[in-house]
Amino acid sequence: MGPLMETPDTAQTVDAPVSTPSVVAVVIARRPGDLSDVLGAVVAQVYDPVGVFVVGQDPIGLGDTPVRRVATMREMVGQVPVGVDYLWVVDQDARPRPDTLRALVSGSEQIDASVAGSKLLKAEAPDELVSVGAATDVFGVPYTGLDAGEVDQEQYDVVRDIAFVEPASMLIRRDLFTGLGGLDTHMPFESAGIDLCQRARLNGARVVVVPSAEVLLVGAFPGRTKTWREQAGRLRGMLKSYSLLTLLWAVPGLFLIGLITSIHDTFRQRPLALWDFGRAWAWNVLHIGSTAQGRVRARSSRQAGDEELFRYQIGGSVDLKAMASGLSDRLANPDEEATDLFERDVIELPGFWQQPSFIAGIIVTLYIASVTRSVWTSGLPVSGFSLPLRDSALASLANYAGGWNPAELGSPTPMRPVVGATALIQLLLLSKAGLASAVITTGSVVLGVVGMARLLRLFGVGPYARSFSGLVLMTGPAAAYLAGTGAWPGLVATGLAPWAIGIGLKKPDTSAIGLVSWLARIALASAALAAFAPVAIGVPMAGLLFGGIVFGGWRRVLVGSVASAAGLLALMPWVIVQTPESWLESGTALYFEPRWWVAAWIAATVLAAVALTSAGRGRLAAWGAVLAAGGLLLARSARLGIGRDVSVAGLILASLGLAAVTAVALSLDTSDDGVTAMTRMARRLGAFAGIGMVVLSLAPLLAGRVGLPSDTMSEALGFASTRAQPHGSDRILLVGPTAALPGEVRRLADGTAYRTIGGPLPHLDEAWPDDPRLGDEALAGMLEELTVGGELRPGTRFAEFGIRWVVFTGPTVIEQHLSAQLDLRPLPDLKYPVFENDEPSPRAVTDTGVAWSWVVPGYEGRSDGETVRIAENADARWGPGDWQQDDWANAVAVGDGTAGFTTITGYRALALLSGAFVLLLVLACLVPTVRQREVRP
Amino acid sequence: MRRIVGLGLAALLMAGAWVLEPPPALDPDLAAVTTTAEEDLISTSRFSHCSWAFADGDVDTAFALAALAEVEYQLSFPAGGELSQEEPQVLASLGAVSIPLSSFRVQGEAPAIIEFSDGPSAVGVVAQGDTELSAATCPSSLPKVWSVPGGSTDDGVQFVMRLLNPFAEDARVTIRGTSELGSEALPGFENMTVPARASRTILVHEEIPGRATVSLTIEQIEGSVIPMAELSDGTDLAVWPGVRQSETWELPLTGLGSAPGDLVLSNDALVDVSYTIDIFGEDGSVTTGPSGSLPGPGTVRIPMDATFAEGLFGVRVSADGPISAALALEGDGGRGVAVGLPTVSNRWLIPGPNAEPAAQYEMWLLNSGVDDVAVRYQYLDAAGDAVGVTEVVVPATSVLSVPATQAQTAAVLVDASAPISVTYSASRGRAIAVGEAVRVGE
Repeated sequence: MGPLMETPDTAQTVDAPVSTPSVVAVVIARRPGDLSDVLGAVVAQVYDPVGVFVVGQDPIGLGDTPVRRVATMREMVGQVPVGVDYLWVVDQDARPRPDTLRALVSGSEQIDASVAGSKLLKAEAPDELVSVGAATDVFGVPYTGLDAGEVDQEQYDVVRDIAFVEPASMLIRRDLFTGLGGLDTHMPFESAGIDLCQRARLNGARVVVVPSAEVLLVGAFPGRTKTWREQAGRLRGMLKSYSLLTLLWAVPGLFLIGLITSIHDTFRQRPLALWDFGRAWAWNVLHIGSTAQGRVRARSSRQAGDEELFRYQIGGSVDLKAMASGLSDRLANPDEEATDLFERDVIELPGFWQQPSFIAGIIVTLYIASVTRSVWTSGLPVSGFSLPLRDSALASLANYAGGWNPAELGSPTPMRPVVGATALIQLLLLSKAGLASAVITTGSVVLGVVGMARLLRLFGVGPYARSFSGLVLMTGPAAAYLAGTGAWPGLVATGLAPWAIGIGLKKPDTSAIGLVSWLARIALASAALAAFAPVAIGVPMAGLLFGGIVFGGWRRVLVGSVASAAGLLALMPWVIVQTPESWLESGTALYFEPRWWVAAWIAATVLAAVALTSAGRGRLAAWGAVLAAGGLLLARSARLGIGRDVSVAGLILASLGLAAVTAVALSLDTSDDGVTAMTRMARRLGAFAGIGMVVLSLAPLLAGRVGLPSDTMSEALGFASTRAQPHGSDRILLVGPTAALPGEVRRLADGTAYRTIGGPLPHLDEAWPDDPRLGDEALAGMLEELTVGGELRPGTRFAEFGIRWVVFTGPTVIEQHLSAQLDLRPLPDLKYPVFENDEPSPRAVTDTGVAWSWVVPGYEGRSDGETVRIAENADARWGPGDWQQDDWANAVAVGDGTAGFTTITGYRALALLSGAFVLLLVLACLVPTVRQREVRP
Repeated sequence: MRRIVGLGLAALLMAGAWVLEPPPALDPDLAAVTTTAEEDLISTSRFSHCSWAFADGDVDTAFALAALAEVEYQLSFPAGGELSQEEPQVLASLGAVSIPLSSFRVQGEAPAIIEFSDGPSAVGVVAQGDTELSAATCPSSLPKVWSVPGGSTDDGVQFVMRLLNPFAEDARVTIRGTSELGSEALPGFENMTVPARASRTILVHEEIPGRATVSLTIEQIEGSVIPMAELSDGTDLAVWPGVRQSETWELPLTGLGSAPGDLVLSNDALVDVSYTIDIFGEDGSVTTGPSGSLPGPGTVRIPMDATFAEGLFGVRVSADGPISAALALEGDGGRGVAVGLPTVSNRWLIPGPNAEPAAQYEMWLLNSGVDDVAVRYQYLDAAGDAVGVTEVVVPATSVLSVPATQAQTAAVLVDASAPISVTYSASRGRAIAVGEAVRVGE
């Protein structure tokens, strides 16, 4: 039996008290409102209180009731007459029955309890229990042990010791109340009660519930526990009551659990959960002084240690258990609309850990943790388009919105939306670049798995199949190939892909607000997807349109497709400078060529899923098959002149389709009921094919970096950090095979690929160079000359471009000619052949020879000389002072030692407009949810 | 029905995906790429590597620079891993200048690189001392395998090989030697490192003593080196560069006064090479000279004496495999070595004549063709003025010697109506020198 079921040795049937202790009723007016009902109930008690106080601001409805109105608890304590034995604290929402006080007094007297509480029932449904006293976990989260909507059948009617009682109706010894300082007025309703009871118990007092003392509670709010005030109150209570030793582990544990559950709740009808979480902690920081005072007071008179508190606590975390239970329920009950978790007080379903949904959830969780582990321990591998973010998110955002695009020798062209999106996320994570990359990567996997499960739940697919299809989505054959090319943004987009489709296929609320919210969610999901893979905006559109063909509901999916396209508005300013050619043809296309046996396995899975399943799931399989086939077609269309983005979109589409098909295959009914032996065998083979698809998806587990290629750059380019000049790293020219270069490449006439990066490592904002400008063409011309040979001083020429190192990631003609030159010194014992320029080669240098540093988004250095030459493509917006074109580069005034690019206000305005549009979408998504919130202090 | 339609559509799309072939590879196939073809022997290069230059109290070396276009030139001296650079200077179009090494306040050995802002250009070194006179052209091209024929380690003769690596990268080479006895063992000369911006000196006479004829092959494993050979006997000094091998060689000069010449042929391969020698007399006569088989690897010395032709004559060597050829002159107190010319051309630039004003110079023109060739030559000075323009006719299949002494000049530009081969010689007292011309035309 748990703590709620403990009974004191002296348990007796409540009877009329022998003595008549005097009681003063204290009605707590926590907010302005009419108190006539509660006062009427207090005055109507068969056990007359000797006085009634109302504590609080601006109460109304006092009428002729003989009450004394005081503003504060202290004032009340000072005015309570001498000789009063008890204080009966009653909340303004409480409606005690006429015999409540008598029962409380009797119960307290009989078992010598110092604090006694009432059984709470819903005023709106008097048979329904709200609380019969409660336990808490170590973090102060209450646990009543009741089922949601549990009817009172006197099953809990026994006086017993408990952890705390709600201050809706609390009888407390006057001297104890005075000694404890009463309720902490900084705390809200529930946590104030917990805090008072904890302090009481630490002082050796007994806290009991007297179930015969019934109180009807108006507006019982099941979500109260999750409000930010209650969260703040619980933390404050911990800080006041626990010993330092307990706090050392409990406070970090509370933070971590709060963060996890807040993130979870964000997607569960509490979109402001993270905000509430932060607010609660911030409140405690601001009120740390009063908390410290309360702690001193609480601990100065304590007679028991923390073990007294632990006695009435349940193990583990109530919030985590509720979260786990909710997850299990959702996976197990696809047809049920998610219920507000906090309407349910049941935390422990009998044997929930044995349910398939829970097991599948555990497996998927382990998969996510394992497949992303290397990203957390070693960081994102630097290869292809898997590139680190800049150290400063603010600088990245400033550059994104109308600043200088740093790819190659720079340009004023807007950067890809992924740069802005990742910088925004990085900003929320305190500008921690590595953390942001890891969070985005892991988040995309989580979103992909959850999104796919949500999508498939619409079609009644079971929990195992739903869960494992997520694996196929994120690390199946198509996704693994995509990730293997270093397409990190594409991988993230894969995780976002099922959301827009899932929302679009789900019937929206018929109300206007619901419809707007539905459209906004589709647009938001599509915008997020397109931010990472622009052409993949077509994926939800294709998914919805095909869905219209297969599932019906044409009108809805058409509207959804339009909403999906609206997501493009979030991609400004980049999207407005694009042309159809740049959308469809830019970049080196991928070519997905799975091994023959993998292709055969995919085909077998598709065939089995489509042919052997029931009608409903068969349409789902057909839908998935069309998506997969269409995606594969796009991913192999390099010869048709498509660009990289189209092939990435194709692979995302293919991953989606394969995941759906796999889910259907895993759901094949392999039982023996009513089918021929051949059909049964075929279904088993089909299910086996589905299992095989899942097994194929486990390959990336080995490396733990979600299928991304190994880091080819970090160690290879480490020399640029160790050998950097005092002004920082200069540019690095990388020449070699396309696959070994970061981002999109430029090519010489003979096909030799090359890239210039800022050093020491390539960053994400350098991955997509713009069309060549003057400087780029000059560099290309110089490299063309080097392919012929005969240049004795290539270093001097590279120095003009700020290039200090030339790295050959593979054999090239240029490297062969560098065996006979004077000023590029080979560095020994490195992974790749690296040549270091003997000539000074800063990116920016004054006319007096002082080198300046590249500090995103401009240059800084000593103010020496008159002009500074900036080795970026010439653009008159570089400054300060009079700009002059120095051949292909820029010459500006030295000024105060900074040089920068004047923001293009038009682009900045468009970027802000995009941000506002996204905010609008977010708000539109939140409106129905916010309206459902009932927030009471 | 819908799923059948869906399946059919999927099958159609899959079939379409299946037939699409992969795109052509964008990265170049490096296995098919070689370095710049060595067939291009026209010197359009903008730099020359002089592996040998020496100055002390007795000997001084002049760098003779010549360029067809107005250029800026700069001398750099690699030594000890560093590269010291002089200030750039300007040279007029069709100009030539002689710069003594001593003017740089350098003592001892001082190999140099000369860079020009434009081509064609050429550099030669002319060294003179009390009894010494030597001349050589500084190579511009960098073959993978160098051949240095014409050496000797006879008693009293010092044969020194200097390997210059002026570049930023260490070089590794393997040196092999042949003599009249065949292949010679050179232990310790495999994968030998020549550090960046430095030289290595090999005392061949100590490695392979007592050989009348020694030829060396330098194979570059990594990086590049420029070899130059030095032969001295205590009186005169001969300096000559390495060459790449060829199947044909022309040598307009086969003897100089009291210094008869020996034709030295060297074969670096493992297979024998057959050769024939054609003799071109000054009277236009063509006779077939000695022919034979050159063992691989091996070297042979063929005296160019009067038994082949009366008076002056030049030779053309033809082989059925790549060999190298040089002319070694040795006379009364005089010694000179010049490598052959692997090709003919209608335009030659000769850096060096008159760089040492005290010597007498001759130019040797060989027309191995069947028609007479009109030749116009002029001397180049620092101002770019056309000095001493002379026109001569070289009869078919004949060799012609013309005086080439012109004060205040440092190079000669030869233009011919048809391809010929050209070399020059210098003499001062008993000291002699022979130098090579640089092809700058078709």
